[in-house]
Amino acid sequence: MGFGEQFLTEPALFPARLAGATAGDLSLAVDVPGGPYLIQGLSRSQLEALSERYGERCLGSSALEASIALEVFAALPNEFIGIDRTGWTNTLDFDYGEHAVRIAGDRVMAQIAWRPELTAALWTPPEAGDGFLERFENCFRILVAYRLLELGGVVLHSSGVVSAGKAWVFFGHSGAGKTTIARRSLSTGRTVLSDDINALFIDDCVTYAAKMPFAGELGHTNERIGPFPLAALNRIEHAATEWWRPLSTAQAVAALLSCAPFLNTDPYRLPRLMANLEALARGARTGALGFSLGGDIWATLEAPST
Amino acid sequence: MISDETVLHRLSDVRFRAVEDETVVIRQEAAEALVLNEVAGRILELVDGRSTAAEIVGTLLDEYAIDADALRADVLSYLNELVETGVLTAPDS
Repeated sequence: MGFGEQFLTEPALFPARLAGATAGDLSLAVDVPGGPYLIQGLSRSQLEALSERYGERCLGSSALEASIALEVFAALPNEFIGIDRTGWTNTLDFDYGEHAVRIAGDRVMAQIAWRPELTAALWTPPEAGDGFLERFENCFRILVAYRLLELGGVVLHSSGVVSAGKAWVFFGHSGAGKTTIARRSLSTGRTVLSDDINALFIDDCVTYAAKMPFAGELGHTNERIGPFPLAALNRIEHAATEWWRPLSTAQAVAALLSCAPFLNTDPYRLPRLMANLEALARGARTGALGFSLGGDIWATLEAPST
Repeated sequence: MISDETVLHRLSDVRFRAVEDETVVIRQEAAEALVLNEVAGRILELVDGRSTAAEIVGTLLDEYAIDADALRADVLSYLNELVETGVLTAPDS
């Protein structure tokens, strides 16, 4: 199946330019890692939905100029193929190009482009209800990933926990235990950044982890905390008892690649992604952590010998 | 089975990068990555779609002070492994 054929009634008519009719002329700036991001072309109901969604992350008008732009255009419902969502896993089609990435999904089209600055647009039926937030966020998180890439960072499928003022990031395949570790850490009084996606970036030779507004089951708040200097990156796996061992830089890069969504399948940006991951792995203590169902990972992680 | 005359090719979605003395290989379509040691990484570099396995062995003999028979066995073993993990293809084997 070619690009967009699963989702679009006429894939060949995918917008060639970042243009179109908007649902409104309202804007909202949000403070998300790599931003701020300026979301434009909103109707009143879309603005209200996004304002409620991003809460404290919404910025005043002074932030409107120094932002990465994301324009929201109105698409007609008949531009999209109706999806039977029963048992359907939310997926997206990607078409990677040197200067732009096209995205198609359930009732949404989007394009992330370098013109030469990073900019983005999405087209979706304008009704604020009926899944607008989900469609918007599916595209927005991809824009954030590309933005962090150009800042030398990465978005990582991971669990982020703050302990003694530093961030510990746990990554692994689906089902490896990211949410379990987050939940257990929360019960010990530690702060959870997110149990789904976290941002990593380097600033002035220090690696930081930042809270993203895209959480899974835990960390779903817009509390503006951090970023936090990174204590360690840990690839996690189930084990009979707790253990930790260091990873080589190459092992860390390979493990991180598998957990870097959206970008690890983009052939044009892969070299940059690998370079960023190598820099992140070199700049942090990186290891593999085995954890058991009833064990205390923090005793292992914070032991002087680890 | 790979022989001395086999010409191997990297699959089109395979990318790799040397990281210190190892090589990180990613199969982009599956978003899977693996790590090769120094010798396996060099072997992957030498797979160019034209060189035979024997020619790869010959190049490595110039670079490493290793017994020729042992090197040949290792190279063929690595090449088989890289085919099995979907990094290389050997259309004529």
